[in-house]
Order: sequence, then structure tokens, then C-alpha cells
Amino acid sequence: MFSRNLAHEANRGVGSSGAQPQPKLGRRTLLRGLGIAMGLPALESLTPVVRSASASATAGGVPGAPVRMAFLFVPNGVIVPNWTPQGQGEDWQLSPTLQSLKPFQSKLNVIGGLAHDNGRGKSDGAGDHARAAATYLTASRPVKTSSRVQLGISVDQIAAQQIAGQTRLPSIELGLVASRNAGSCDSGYSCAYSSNISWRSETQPMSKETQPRLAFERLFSTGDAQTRRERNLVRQSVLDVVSEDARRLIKKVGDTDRRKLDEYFSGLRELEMRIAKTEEQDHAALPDIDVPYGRIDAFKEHSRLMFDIMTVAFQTDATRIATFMLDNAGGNRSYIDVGVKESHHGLSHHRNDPQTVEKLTKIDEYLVQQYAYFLERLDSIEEPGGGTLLDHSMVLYGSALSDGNRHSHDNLPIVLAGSARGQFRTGRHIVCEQETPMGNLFLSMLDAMGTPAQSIGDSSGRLTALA
Amino acid sequence: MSALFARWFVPKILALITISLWAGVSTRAQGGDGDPLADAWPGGGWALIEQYCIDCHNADVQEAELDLSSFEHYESAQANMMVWNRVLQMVRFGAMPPDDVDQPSEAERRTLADSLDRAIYNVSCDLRPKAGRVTARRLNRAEYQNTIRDLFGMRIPVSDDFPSDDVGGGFDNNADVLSMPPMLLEKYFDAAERISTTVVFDPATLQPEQIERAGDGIGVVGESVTESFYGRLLTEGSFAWIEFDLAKSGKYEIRLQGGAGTDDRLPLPFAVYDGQGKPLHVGSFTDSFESSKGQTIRFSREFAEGPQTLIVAALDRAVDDLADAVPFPHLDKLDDEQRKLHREQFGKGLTVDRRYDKKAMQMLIRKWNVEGPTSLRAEDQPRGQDAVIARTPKTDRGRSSESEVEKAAIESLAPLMRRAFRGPVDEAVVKRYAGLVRQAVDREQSFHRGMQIAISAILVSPRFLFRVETADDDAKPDEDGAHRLNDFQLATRLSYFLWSTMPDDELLKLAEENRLRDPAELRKQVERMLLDERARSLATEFASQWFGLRNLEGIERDNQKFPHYDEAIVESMAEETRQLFLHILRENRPVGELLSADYTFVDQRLADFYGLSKERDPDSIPLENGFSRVSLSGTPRRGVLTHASVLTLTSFPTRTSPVQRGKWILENVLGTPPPEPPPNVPELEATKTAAAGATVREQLALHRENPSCASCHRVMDQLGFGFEQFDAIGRYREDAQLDASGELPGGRTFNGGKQLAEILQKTESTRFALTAVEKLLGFALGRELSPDDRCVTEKMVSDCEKGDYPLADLVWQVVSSRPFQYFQPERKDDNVQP
Repeated sequence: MFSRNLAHEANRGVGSSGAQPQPKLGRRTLLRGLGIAMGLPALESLTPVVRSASASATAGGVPGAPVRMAFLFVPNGVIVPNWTPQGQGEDWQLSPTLQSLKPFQSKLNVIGGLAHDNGRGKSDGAGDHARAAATYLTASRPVKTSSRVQLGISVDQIAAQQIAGQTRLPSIELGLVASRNAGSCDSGYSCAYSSNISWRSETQPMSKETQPRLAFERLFSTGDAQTRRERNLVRQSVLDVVSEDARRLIKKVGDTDRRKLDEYFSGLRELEMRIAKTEEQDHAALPDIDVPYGRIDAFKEHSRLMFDIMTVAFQTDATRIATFMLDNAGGNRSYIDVGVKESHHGLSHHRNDPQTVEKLTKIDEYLVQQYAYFLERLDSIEEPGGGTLLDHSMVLYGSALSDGNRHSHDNLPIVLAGSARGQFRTGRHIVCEQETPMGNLFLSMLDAMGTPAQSIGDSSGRLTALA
Repeated sequence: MSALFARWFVPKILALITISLWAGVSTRAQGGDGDPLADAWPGGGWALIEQYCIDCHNADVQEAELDLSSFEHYESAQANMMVWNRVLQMVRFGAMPPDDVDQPSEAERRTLADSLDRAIYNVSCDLRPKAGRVTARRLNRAEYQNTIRDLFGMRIPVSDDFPSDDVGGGFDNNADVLSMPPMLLEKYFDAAERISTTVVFDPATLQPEQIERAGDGIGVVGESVTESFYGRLLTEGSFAWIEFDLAKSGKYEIRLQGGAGTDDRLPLPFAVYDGQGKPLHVGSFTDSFESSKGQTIRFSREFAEGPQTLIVAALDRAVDDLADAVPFPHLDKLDDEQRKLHREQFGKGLTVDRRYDKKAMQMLIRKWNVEGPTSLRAEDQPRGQDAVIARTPKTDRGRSSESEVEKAAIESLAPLMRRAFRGPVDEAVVKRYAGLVRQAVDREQSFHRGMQIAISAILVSPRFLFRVETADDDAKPDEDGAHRLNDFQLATRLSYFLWSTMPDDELLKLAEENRLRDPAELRKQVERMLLDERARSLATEFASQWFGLRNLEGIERDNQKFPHYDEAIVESMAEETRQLFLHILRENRPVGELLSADYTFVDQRLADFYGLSKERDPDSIPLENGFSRVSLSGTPRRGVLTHASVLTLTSFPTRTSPVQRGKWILENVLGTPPPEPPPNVPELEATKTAAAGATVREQLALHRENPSCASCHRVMDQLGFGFEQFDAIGRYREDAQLDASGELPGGRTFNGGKQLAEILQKTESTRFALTAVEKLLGFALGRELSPDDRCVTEKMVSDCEKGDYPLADLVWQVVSSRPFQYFQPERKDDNVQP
């Protein structure tokens, strides 16, 4: 009975719709393997993919190490004069705020002039912080609502959906602050807009993981091989049973409910793909880093753990795509590490008061230092075939507001580190024409990732200056 | 749709609004010819807009990117409800027109507001109100955790690992916002596996130990000899014993190899005792050393972990029943000296005796084996296990047939699934889950392991994780297209509203008997449920979100200025507010008492913080959790507005914020959130004030000189000033200089928070009751309220006017309302997918 179930299941995906990315091993091969595995210590026929990943992966049609992409978000804008570098093109100096990036100056581009027009109020009125986080990676206008959220797919998810199945997880979403859990977050916008930058579809934000240990376990499932096999086998049989429940349910409901159940289905599909993936992969390569359990309160320790996790995730090819919110939109952290007691968002409405501007500059510098730490980690890892992990990545850092005092959505403070394996020319201060849609940068990044898209949000073309 | 309007919206929003709202228009079939409201519009509302608004908001000049020219058409209100509503808010609030242009008279303002209101909420309350549609609801974190608790009767904390739920419409149980990212589903799998292995214990995971004692491993007290195979032969009056250590408690199998000494002693009765001399087993040897090597006696007993002693001794006469056996009479002989001697001998070997009087030997003890644990002790079984596993399959020589496994699984799973899925479950579905148990047994795993897997599956089924309301196959909608909830659906809505958890057995039983929809029974149930401990969720989930108490978490304070502020006091603050809410709810007191209560609830920490003395109050009523009810007479505090919780969460890290406090009252008491500030105006509150040397009041006065700020801040700031006597963590400050006076519209003046709270309770109790009902209904339904709901909420409030809006009565109004008891199935043309 069991095997019949599986054979039947082998011909279809769990879900009701959508194309199923092809795993490297057919379902039947895998499941037959599972059956044998019950009595045998290891499956020699399943080649470890971690070791072969760099050889087999391609990006932008060029063979070599895979390209990775990370997107970091900081709230509340920056002090623009202290952020903006002197000079342009290849002849430029790092600004005061960006000093800690000095060691990587040749490996990054500071990009000025990009804008998110959809972040502006227009007839939607207030709520610039919610709109900033919402537009950051989607370039789309959020529908102003407290409950029926609607936005657009984000750049990381466009890439993730195309490379799903090649890595254990299509993408990871990290943050330091959980979603606010009472009231509204910003002037009538649902909190979903303020606390997520990654959107799987127009209506589905990707919740972020804020506990490092849980993020780690999700990426590198723990336990010995036997336990994992048993768990995968069990999960597969459970998937078969519950997806039948969902199929029956979905027949009876209207479209909105169907959308909710579709979210459930795509979760099942992803889980199924992961089961196939973990079976293939060699867990001997479990990264040797110490990630403590529970919540971490200290900002610096917390953020660095997250950077470490992203680094090993990229290094082991557990995923190639990460998003990381250092705080939610309009975040109110007090950066006591650098002696600033007042809350970040409160300060950001500085009205050019020199003391407040100074405090904010300290915060800006401090946040960039965390970014520098991540770049340092990435650059310290040599990859097979030459080049560092940083060289093979695109690591975007920035805020979707420039001047936090005035809630400006143009001339955004953006740094893009890593050359995507030589596809971008780095070491420059690129000043785009003002009002260039940020979406143009995303399209170029997607090209470099080998996961091109025709458009995203209000994009109007590619950012040719990068090449 | 005018071209001008089209410019306002990106196409997506356009689709959303036009499709859903035009549908609304067509069903209401109002407006247009013969509608007196529409006829009055050109000379009424529109004339005033033309006079006061259109100069700055037309096709050519679009202040705030707002063009009001299409307001000429009365029907466009329905199609552009969001924009009309925003204009209404601005006008009603006095936020527009700004102070530097011509102002309408108060009467004109009211006329404009009323006609805008009617145009938007063009709903006749004489008609039956719409039931409204609720999206499939995923259990949120609290609901999940509570449901697991009640499903298995065990507290298994798992939801801490779940990502926090987003908030929609003010609450984190909003169906439209609760999404299911793949990460969460994976966590549901992890949690389900943890729960199922906690609830059901798989004996196969015990990893049994084997202990063997023979030869010098057996101690003897009294005379004995050692025969050729190192068996111990005991004379009358001697006894044998062993000791060993158990790493785990549980049930162990004991095998004792031995016999009588001689045939003429057969049958030889004996007893086995534990180290305290308590009889564990009685029996008789029927083989003897004289004619055989003896026999093996088997029995099983439960042991605690740690050191154990077993003793075997012959009895004078047979005892048939263990219950009749007496404690070992010679336990005193097994003293420390004996134990020491034995330990010294242990492992050194024995010398075989060649010559001895065989006839004198009463008993042979050759070997002990202790094996286990084979299962947990009864007291170590998970508490929920008995409730989950109705029976285990019968075995025949250690194996069960497929059909027997399936039968036992179905017997256990059917009642569990009915509770977990909150209603009847088809036999075929139960059978599918039972298949998981059978598959596990096929894979040589235990029945218990199979049950764990089936339970995991139940906990990740969409029928558990989501509350989906579908019409029964034979159900017919009423003439308005709405379905009445069936009894199980009603039980589920009820329990998640009042308890944030699954329906209990009583509710399910009533549902099964189709009795829950009977209003008298329903009322009885609501009363029962509100008194139940689980109703505390109305404080922790509902009131905590209404009042924003959850935002206290993570609020930081300058620790130099506020050294008393820490996590412990924050928890006490929040609990005070929750206690007051619960008290007023359970005692069915007027809802306005939340604002004016002259008593409160404090623990010692909060009493000290407030400077209240519990001892001095003779009427102090202690509660269970360290809190007491105390009187506030003679203090400046009254009601939630003067609770430290609310005062803290409406302040900044270094100082108070009259604006935030005023805004809190407008939103949560009066139900009229102030209009949003115009775009790109920096928040005044954010500017640093200390350096300027001005008081907050002076700063705000400056602020109000700006005409576009003044109109709203006039109201907000005045309300907030009333609480200036309380600092940023809610402590009373004795400062003669402090000005806590203010004036409300209509010339109502006050000085201090206590007076303001009393004014609000006296003059605004209807509005407060309406706010409470709106919040309750939104929370109960897990959706944002729509204009259609307004007739319902207003009626609920007016029905409770008698008794000044008692809180439990308002809850009852919600439960008995049409939106709560009916649902509108989604029509195809409601599809707003772009």
C-alpha cells in the first residue's frame, strides 16, 4: 500500500498547480533509495552536491562558482551629506559614513541617484516608512490597507523562484526585530509592509527569522543521517496525506480562501523539494560555527551571528539568496553601543539640529560597520577555481529613504559590493541620473544572477552603468 | 470613472476598488434617479466642497495630489470610498480646510460631514445587515499554542519558534494578513513532530539494558555452598540477594534461574522482595537441583532509576496471591556489613565446593537477569497519552495483523481528529490517517511510533491549521445569499473569540446535538465561557492589542532618568490593565468604568511604584497571582488612562508626549483616529526639545501656529495635556509648575487626568461603547469591519444603553449578531485578483 502510494505520487507534485522544478534525481530513484537506506549506512550512489556545486552551477550562462545575492535593509534613511562620497566614477573618496568600507573600496560600487517613486505618498498620504520597506525590493506601490495586503514580488524572490531546487533552500529571510504585534505600524499600513522586504507574491510576504539558532537549523538540519532519513521518509508520507485534505478543501472554497490554501500548497511543495535535496546532500559538510540557542538581545552580537549564518549558507551553497533587515521600517532601536540613547526613528526627524545630525551619523557609521563585517567574512573565503565568496556575490546595502527627516524616496543611499564573478565593474561611485528607478538595478542584478526578468515594479530598463 | 480618478491609482488598486465596490453599488441599487440623498448632493455637500475645498484640490492644482472635481458626481462615493472617507475624516476632524484659508461655519462643517457620511455609508439600516465574508483563518501563535494545550492536556511550548504574526485591522488574528510562508509550514512540521513525540511515548526508543548476576554476583546471607556450575545452594534459613543500578526508570523483566534443593522439597514456595523487603513476586519451584538444573522464573516489575536490591527467600508455605505476601521478615540481616562483604567478593570468583550434604540444601539460585526498561512506568507516561491512544492492537506472538492495527488506530484517531478538526470527520479521512500507522508498523516500527506520525499529520493538516468555513453540501443560502453557520462552525467561532482556543467537549457535544444555535443555550454557554479560566485570553489577546499593551515589550527608557524601569515593572503594569479589563468583563460592569474606575489591581511591585499601600486599604481584595484589588480614592488616578502601562507606551524614551497620549485617546477611546499628517511634514515629537529649553507645551504651541498642523493638534494636544502630571513611565510628579489643564470641544474644561477621565466617562460613554463593540467585532470575526457593519455595531450599542453598556452584554451582542452567526460565501465576481 505504501509503495503504491509513492508510485502514484511520483507522477505528480503535491500541489494543485504550478510547474514543479525538476530535482536532479527522479522521485522514484530517490524513494527507492530511501527504501534501501533503511538498512544501509550510506547511499554511495548519491553524490554529495556541496562538493560538486561549484563545478555544476552556472550563472549568467558562464560556468564557474554560483553567483549569490544578499540584500540588507536599514530603516530611517541616512544623513545624506555625510553619506555621499566625493568625486565620481573611478576617481572618488569614501565619505565619512562609509569609512569602514575602505578595505573593500575596489570591490564595491556606491550608487547614487536611484529612486523609488512608488514610495512617495501621492494620494495615499502618510506612511512613508511602511512604503519605504515595501518598495525597497519590490519597486511596487503597496495598497494602503491595514489587512488585505497587496504589493508585488520582490527581486530576491524572482531569483529564488528560478533557481529553486538547485540549493537546499531557495532563499532565506532574516531580521533582528520581529513584526510588531499590536495596533498598526505606520499610518494605516498593515505591519506586514513594515516588517518584511521579501515578497513571494503580490499578497504573500516572506516572514523573517529573527532567532539565529532557528535560522541555522533551518539551513543545516541537524541530527545524524539515519535520523534525517527517517524524518524525510515520514514527512513524505505525511505530505501525501495532508495534501489530500487540502485538495478536498480547495474544491469547496472561493478565490480568497483558495489563495490562502495555495500558500499552504506551495509550502508543501517547497518542503518536498527540500526532502529531495537533503537526501542528495552531504551533511558531513555541516559548518562548524557555534550558534547559541534562544533570543539574542545585544544588537552587535545578534547581527554578526546573522552575517555568519549567511556566510556559511553561501559558502556551503545551502542557499544563494538572502535578505536581512537590520531593523523594521521606522525602527526605534537605541544604539547604546555608540552612546546614542534616543530612539533611531525619533532622531531621524532631526530638522538639521547639529547635535541630532551628529548622533545619526554615528548610527549610520555603526550600521555600515556591520556591513563591512559581512564583506570581510565573505572576502575571507576563497572559492574553488579562484576568487573569494565576495567576488562571486552581489551584496546590496541601503535604505529606501535618503533623508529620513523629509522622508525622501529619491537619491537613495545604496552600496553594491561584489562583482557577481566579474560581471560588474567595481571600485566606483556611480551617480545615476536622478529618479532612475531602483528597479533598473534589480533587473541588472537578476541578469547577473542568471535569473532575468522583463520588469519589476516601476523599472524602465537595465542599469547599464554597472557593467 | 473619470480620467482624473484614473490618475490617482495604479491599475492594481483600481481593480480592487472598482470591482469590489461597484459590486456593492449594484446590490444596493441606490443612488441615481429618485434618491433624495443624491438629489440633495449638488446643492448641499458639493456646493460646500466647491466653496471651501476645490480651490486647492482641482485638476490643475492638486495639493496633496488630491483632485476633488469628481466629487461633483454623487455616485463616485461608492467607487472611491477610500478617498471620500479620507476627505470626510479631514472635514469632520476640522483638519481641513487649513487655518489660513476661509473656514466653514460649524453648521456648514456639520452639513458637509453629514452629507459625505451619507454618500459613503449609503446603507439603509432598515434592511437586513450583510453578514460579511471572512477569509480562511490560519491559527495565530497564541491560538496554536492554546489549541495544542487543550487538545492534549499538556503544555508544550512550541510556538515561540514561529515568526510573529503580522497585525491587520489592529489585531494579529486578522485572516487576510495571516499568511503561510514556506518557513512557517516547515516550523509547523517541526512543532508537530515535537508535540507528537511528547504526547505519545514510543517504547521502542527505550534502548533496554541487560543486567546479569550469577556466581559471585549473587550474595548469600546464611550458610551456602557453590556447586560445580557456580550455582549457589542455600540451606534452610539462608537467603540470596543481588544489587544493581538502573539508569532509567520503567518496567523491567526479571528472570530468576533456580530450583528446590531436593525432590522431596517440591514444590518449594518462595518470594522475591525489593531492598525494602516489599514482596515483588511469589511462586514455587517445581524443579530441583537433585534431578535437573533448575528452572527459570519470569516476572515484570516497575522500578525507579537508581540502585536496586532484589532478595529471594524460601517460604514456609505457599502464598498464592502477591497481595497476601508479608514483607521480608529477615531484612535486618542484610546489613551494611553483609553488603560490604559481598562487594569485596564481587568479581573475585568462587571456589566450588565438592563435598557437602546434598540433602541439607533447600534452594538453588543460579542466575538473575534484569532486562529493560520494556516500557515506561505508568506515572512516567505522557499525561496526554491515555487520551490519545484509546487502545493498542492485540498481538499474537508479538505481531498484529494489518487489519487489527488499522482498527486500533482508527479507534484512537477518530475522536482525536474530531476535536482537532473541530467537527465531524468522514470515516474515509480517518482511514487515510490510520494508514500512516499501518505503514509504520509495516516498516517494523511500533504502533506507538505510527500514532506519533499520524498525530504529526493531523497537526499539519490544513483542517487543523486553518479555520475554513464552507457551506454544508445540502445547505441553502438565505435570500441575502448568506449561510448560517452550522453548530460546529459556531462553536469554533465562539471558542476562538472568547478563549483563543478550540471548542471544549461541552461545546462540541452541544454542536453534535444541534443545540448550540438555540439562543438560550448560546447565552448560557457565553456566560459559562466568560467565567472560565480560558477567557483570560480576552485580556491577553484582545484587550492587550486594543490598548496596545503588547507594544510595551521592547519599549526602552533612558535608564539614568528612569532607573526604576525594568522588565518586571513593565509586566506588572500590563497585568494591572488586563486585570481591570477582566474584572469589568466578568462582573458585567459598564464599559465606561474602564475609564473611570476608582479602584485598580496592583501587586507589591506596582503598589510601591505608585506609592499605594495595600495594607492601608481595608477593602483590598487579594487575588491568586499576587495582585490585589485596591481603592484609588484620594489618589490622582482613575481608569486605564492613568495606568502606568498606557502612560508609558504613549511616551518617548526621555519624556512624555501629549500628542501620543491624545492620539491614543482619539483612537482607542473615541474611535476616531486623527487624520494622517500631510506627507513630508516631520513629526514634531521627534525633535529634541531639551536643548531649546522650552516646555513641551510651549513647543506644541509653536507647532500649532502652522495652519496645516493646528487643526488636528488642537484636539490631540489638549487631551494629552491632561496627563502631564504623569511622567514617561507613568509616575505621578508633584510639581506645582506643571500645567495639566485643557479644554475639550464644547467648552468642557478640566484640570488633570482624573477630571479628564471622568468627563470622558460621563460624556463620551456611547462613543466609547461603540469603539469597544467595533474592536470586539473585528477581533471576533478576524476581519476589518466594512461600512456595511456600521448599522450592526450602532444597533448593538443602542441595545445596551440600559445599564450604561455593560461589557459582557456587549460581548453577547457580538455573539448574537448576524455577522458573527452568518457568513457570505465568496462569489465569483468578488475575485479581485489582478
